[in-house]
Amino acid sequence: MKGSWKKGLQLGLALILAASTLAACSGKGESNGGAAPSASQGASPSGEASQEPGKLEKVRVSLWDRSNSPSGQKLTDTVIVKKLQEEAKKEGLDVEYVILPRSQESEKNNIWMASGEGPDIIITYDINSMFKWAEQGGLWELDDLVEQYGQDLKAIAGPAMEVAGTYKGKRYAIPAIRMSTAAGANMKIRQDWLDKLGMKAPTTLDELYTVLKAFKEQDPGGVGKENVVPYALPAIGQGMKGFFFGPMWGAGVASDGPATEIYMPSGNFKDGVFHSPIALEEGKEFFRFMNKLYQDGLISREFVTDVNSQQYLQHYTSGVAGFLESNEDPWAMTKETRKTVPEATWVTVDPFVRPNGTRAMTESNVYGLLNLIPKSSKNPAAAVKYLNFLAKNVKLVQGGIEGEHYKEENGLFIAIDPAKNAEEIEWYFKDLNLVTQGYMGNPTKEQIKTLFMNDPNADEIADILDPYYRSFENYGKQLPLIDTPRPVSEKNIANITKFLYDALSKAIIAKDFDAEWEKVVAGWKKNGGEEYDAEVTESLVNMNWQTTNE
Amino acid sequence: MSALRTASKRKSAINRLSPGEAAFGIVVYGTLIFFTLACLFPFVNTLANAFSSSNAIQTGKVLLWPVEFQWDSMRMILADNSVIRALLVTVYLTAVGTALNLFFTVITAYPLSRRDLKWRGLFMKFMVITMLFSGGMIPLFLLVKSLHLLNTLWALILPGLISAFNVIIMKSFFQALPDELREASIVDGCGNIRYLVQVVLPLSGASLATIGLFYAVGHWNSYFGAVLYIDNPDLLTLQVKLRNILLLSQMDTSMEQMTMQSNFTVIQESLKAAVIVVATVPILVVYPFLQKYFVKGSLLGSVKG
Amino acid sequence: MKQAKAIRSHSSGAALKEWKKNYDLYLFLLPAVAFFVLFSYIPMGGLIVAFKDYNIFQGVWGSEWTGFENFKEMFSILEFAQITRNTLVLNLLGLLICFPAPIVLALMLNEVRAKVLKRVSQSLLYLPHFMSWIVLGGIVYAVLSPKYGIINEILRWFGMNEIYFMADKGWWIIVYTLSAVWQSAGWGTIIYLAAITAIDPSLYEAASIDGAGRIRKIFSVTLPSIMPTIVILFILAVGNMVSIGVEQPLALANAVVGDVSEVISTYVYRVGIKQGEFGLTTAVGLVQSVINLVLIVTANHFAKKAGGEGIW
Repeated sequence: MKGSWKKGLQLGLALILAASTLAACSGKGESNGGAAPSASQGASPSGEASQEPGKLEKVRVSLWDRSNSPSGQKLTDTVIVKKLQEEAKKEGLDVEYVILPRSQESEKNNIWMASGEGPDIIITYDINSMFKWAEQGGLWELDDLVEQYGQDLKAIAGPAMEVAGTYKGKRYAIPAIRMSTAAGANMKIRQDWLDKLGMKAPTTLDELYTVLKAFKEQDPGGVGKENVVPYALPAIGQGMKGFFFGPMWGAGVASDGPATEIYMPSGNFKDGVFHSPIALEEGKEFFRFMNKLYQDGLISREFVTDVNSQQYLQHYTSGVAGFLESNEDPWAMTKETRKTVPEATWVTVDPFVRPNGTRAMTESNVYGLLNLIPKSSKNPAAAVKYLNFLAKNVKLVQGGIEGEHYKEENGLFIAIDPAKNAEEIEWYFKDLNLVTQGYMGNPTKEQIKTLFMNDPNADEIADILDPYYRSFENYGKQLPLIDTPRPVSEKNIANITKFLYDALSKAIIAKDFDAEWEKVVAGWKKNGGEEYDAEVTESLVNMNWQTTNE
Repeated sequence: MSALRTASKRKSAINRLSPGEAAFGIVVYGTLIFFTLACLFPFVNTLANAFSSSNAIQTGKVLLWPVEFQWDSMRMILADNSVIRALLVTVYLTAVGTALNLFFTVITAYPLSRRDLKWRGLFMKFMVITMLFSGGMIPLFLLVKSLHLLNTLWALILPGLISAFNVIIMKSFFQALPDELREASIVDGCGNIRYLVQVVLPLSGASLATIGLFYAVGHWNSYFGAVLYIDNPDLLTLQVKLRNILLLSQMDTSMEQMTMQSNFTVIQESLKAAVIVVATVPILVVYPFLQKYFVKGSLLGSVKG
Repeated sequence: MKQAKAIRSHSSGAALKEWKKNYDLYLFLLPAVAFFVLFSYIPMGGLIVAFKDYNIFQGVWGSEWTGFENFKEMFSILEFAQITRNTLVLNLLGLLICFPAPIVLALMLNEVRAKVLKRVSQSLLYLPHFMSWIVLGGIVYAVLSPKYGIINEILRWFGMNEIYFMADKGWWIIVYTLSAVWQSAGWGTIIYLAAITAIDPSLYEAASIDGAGRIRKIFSVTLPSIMPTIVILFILAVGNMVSIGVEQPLALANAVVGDVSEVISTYVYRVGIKQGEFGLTTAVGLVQSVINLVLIVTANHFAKKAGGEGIW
């Protein structure tokens, strides 16, 4: 819940600030625009690039500030920052870093966009902001600039750029590429419980039911039958910590629709038409399945009132839960649960085999951070050149200075002196990397062992994490990113989402499922659900989207 | 002399406790104790959480005292220089702000408490409208900006300088003073200002303390204004600084930086509690100090004197 | 002191006389006038957004004028009637129960002779006021959980059935009101305690001489003495009937009580802030303000009629 309040507050503030600074700026002559970031050391606020031949081109780049500097070091005065500036000079770029407090992303960006006093490179994770600013003509078009100055950039971030960064077909953002997409909702189960019962991990929804029932009736963990929570699930709502992506995939719902706030696959695109899960037979059957789980006591009786995920957390950390889906990797969960139940072991459950015989699951997007160049920047070419320069020197911001901070071994960057790294680079340097997130793809089993070599049970950890990475690799599917405006969605999505949170919860606990489901569909339609689907259909058709349901 | 009489009356009153009064006493004490404990509980629980391990908190083991004691969370906050700085900024803001608030509130409430002031009704209406109608944050921000108050502590003090609600309360307290006092002072040739300073204020200890407390708490908790108007990290108020820490700890930086383990989640739950403790304890200790102003009988003898 | 109702002469002579008599008092009021004009009345111009289609890049003045569109939209919201009803229900209950609670508490505290208990209580009662509803809400849910909560454990101990409080619409409203008391009553006593200290002790002595016991004294001395304060606060509370905070309903809401828990503020928060519809939210706020104004004027009128002193 907290996250959403924060987000709401921040969005509200951001919009207000944007409005005010723009509206008040009748003349740019004001001495103190109030938006100039004052954390940097006396840097001049103007973004003018010097165009004189032979001189360096000035570029101002955003840099996250996470309020985590050890011993009060100044972010702009650090080893890697200075090294980057040194190397950039050799390419004719005079780089200045502008502080952006991580927790004030949207406020600061909005002020900078509205006042025109921001850096040349604005960074954000919020794709909708990018759309909004592009729509309002606040960003430079980058297609030509990338062609001309960004070849190395394309070589590295190509896959991400293919998918994201455009609006209405034109490029306005250069996305950083996620080197590993192994992140997102994944299902996990208690291996120690399965072992006790002599059962194998479920491969279909029906098998899941059987396993959950066995957990409840036979209490393999010895916690007391009334205390077993076979499937741990908190209240369905903003900020819920547990999900049901996986089981829903298993019922035949895929992720052909754009991302929404609800934690379930977004819908199916079949025969040229898109349907949200509510409008699908598979969606209905899935919730019938959940209803059955609830009636049979296989989900917590009180999940509907677990609005802050307190009970959910308690169930899994104290070891009474047997199955759940969340963002965490199984080793992180195992570590936590072992504090209470030493023999607990959580392992990855591969996606269920769905009705058409295939398997699939969600994974994180291949793109991450977005780099934008606001129209207020006088020298967008220099900004693109900087990103290209970063692409060429990317190891500096992935591992540090080779030989000083790391050595390369088996595809991994091994720290030479971890303490020195912690002091000099660890706390900030990856934020300088605007081109890639992470430096390697999914680690192999051997690599995992090396990464955890300081842990006493590195072998076990590798055994647990290997299937975790492999499942994303083998079955992960990307979501479509629609880069054209969707007015119906903008108008209705908040109401549809809130309605569904409530309606789906009621459907799960209803005594008469079919009757309740009618209400769900009726309410969804009333809130504009069908128009929403029609709009998505149009976009998907234009994109030539290939369904993820195959 | 009257003290002696009152004392002896009290003694005999105790002896003559009727069953009705006894029952009354039990009900009063019982309810108070129960309700006090209920009010104490959330705070004690939070305090315990701040010093417990996150695992203990999540598994529901922490109730009234710390389980798996640790003070890393508290240390993380208190050892941070920028937190200390924010604390000092906020203390300064609270002290200066409250002093100004009280001054302006008193000089506004006093005239309004005079029933013989012909146009006071007009002014009251003028003030009440401001309590009901607000143009919102945007115009206020524009105004503050055009007054060049951004990034100064004045942006946090001036827009809230006089609270209509507090003026109304203080006015009502002033009005409660007996009219005879004023009449007596007029006979003495006492002008309005002298009367205010020499008679009204000394008798208004409780109301000054109350309104002062309200303003002080308001300043202490100032968050929204600080986020809107202040960019300079050296001028952050405590609440903003603490919430930044909390927000950062909640952000899953491992997703962004692709590290194998996210650093903060380990102490996240207890960090949340520690933030609350640091944010509230200082202001909580203010009221007990003010209690000496809530002494009964401050009017005793003033009329006769 | 109604003597001031002298014959009003319509000439400026009366005004001049008033000024001469009390000019220093009016000068005292000057800073406040300047303050409210500057920081309240000028920004009030922002209310104009209620009549516009607010666009953040066009700002307050540049946005398109849409007249009463936003208001029409407000009334055509699907759940408009419901969220208004919910707001009123919760607020009326609040007036009925949360308003008297601090008064009762203050009176009780006043009766406590043990100084230590009194001081300690006073300092502890307002603690929940400083906790956010996120924390308090979590505690409410935990305490009322059928399986793990202490209330139901007590019920079971007495051989009664579990009650799933937070999932029941009726109970939810009761819990909302009682938890509001828990959060605010202690803080509310401060004003009343301050008023009580101003009571002349000789009044109590006089009552004792008349043979009044403790309970009688409360009703014949204490209550009447703090009545002006009570009346003022009551009028102000009535003037807030159509508004409601967003923290508490948001923290206590869950999927199955939406029919009673969705209020104006939570709707505005969701639609206005998250969807950025500032025109709509300003329009809603404006309507609320107008209704509150009518309410406060009415309450004030009746208070004066009943012989008390209103706000003006």
